[in-house]
Amino acid sequence: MCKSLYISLLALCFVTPTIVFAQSNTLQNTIQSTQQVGNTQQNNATNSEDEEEERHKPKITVMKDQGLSLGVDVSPLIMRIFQKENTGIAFVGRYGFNYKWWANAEVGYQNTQYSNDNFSYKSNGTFLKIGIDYDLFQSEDFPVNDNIFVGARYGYAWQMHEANNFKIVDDYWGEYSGSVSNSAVNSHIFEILFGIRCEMLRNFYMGWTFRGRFLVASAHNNDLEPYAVPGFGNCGDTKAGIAFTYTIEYQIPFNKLGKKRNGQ
Amino acid sequence: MNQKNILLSLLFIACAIVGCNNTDDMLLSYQHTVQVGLYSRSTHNDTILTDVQVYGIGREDTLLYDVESVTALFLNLNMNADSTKYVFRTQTLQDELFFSYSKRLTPVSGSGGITMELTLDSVGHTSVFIDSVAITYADINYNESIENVQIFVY
Repeated sequence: MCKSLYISLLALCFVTPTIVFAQSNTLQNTIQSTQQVGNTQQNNATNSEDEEEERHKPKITVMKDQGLSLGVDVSPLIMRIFQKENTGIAFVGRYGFNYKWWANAEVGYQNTQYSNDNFSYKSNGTFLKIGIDYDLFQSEDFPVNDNIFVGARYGYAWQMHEANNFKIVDDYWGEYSGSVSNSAVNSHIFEILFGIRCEMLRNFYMGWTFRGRFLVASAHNNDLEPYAVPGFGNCGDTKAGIAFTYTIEYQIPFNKLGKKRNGQ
Repeated sequence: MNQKNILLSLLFIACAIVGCNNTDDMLLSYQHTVQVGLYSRSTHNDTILTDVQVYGIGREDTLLYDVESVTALFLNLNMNADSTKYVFRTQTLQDELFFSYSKRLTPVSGSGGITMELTLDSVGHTSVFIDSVAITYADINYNESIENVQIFVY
């Protein structure tokens, strides 16, 4: 767990300079453009009509394509290479209702089949997550549709699970073994996230998010705690974890939204 | 920015995969024992019992403890039942301690094993040299080492 946290922080350390790089570029460009604007205004000072017209013209300083994005989260496919017991996929949708704020929904499926000498487990389930993202990347002179997100998600997961056999050995009382029949589990998940989303081709986006996940509650009818919860991953005795998603999206552009300068 | 992000994304995936796949630091041990501390009734400080034998009802053939002195005990709970009774025997005296509990099977993350987590519902006792008992922490969870029960002796 400690190593996981260390590696994740290492990854964040690599990410941070990118943001700083982008922001410093933005700052430089802002300074340059401010100087250019100053020069332009000086040159146009003689032309009062043009100046008057320019004053009344609203200026859009942040313009980004807004619309409905639909995509797929391929991280479960990648993780399948390393966690062979889990199979799943998730679909994502996001809608930019503001130039900074995005509403999100994610729906997915996860199948878990695990078996060893002491424990055999099977689970099938789906999850739905809804949430909101805030775009930190607002640049006046860096006109791209890329996003740097922070956000939160609430998730609900429903699954059927069973343990075909289990065996626990106690030094004094001996072996305890048995099976647990199929039953339903309802779980509630909360996530906070940080992520980047880039427009790779026109209207095609790729992005990742790094998430802190918390299994808020998990209700079940039998004595078996879930080994894995859809949308949360393997849990067992832990109620918190870290995760990542990697999404490929297509955005149906509706219009461009932006912040107007001078309040116009 | 796009090229940089592609590289960073790939790096991030590689790090995340390595991080998520690491289970070296997760040890699997099966813990279904009540941690019991012995305390003096008069001072409430920890105390020592000497020449103690402890065995479970149903396992009279095998002593769990046969020691000259003890200040704390780890008593295994019988997972095939909802209650477990132990006998504490000194040279001249004998007392019984019984636990009732609820159980839940808990898969252990990272190790692929399963353990039993328990919650103590009640603890009872006979009163030859045991004055009283108290549950201080009812949950018996994987990888936790917390005293669950205090026994106050005369």
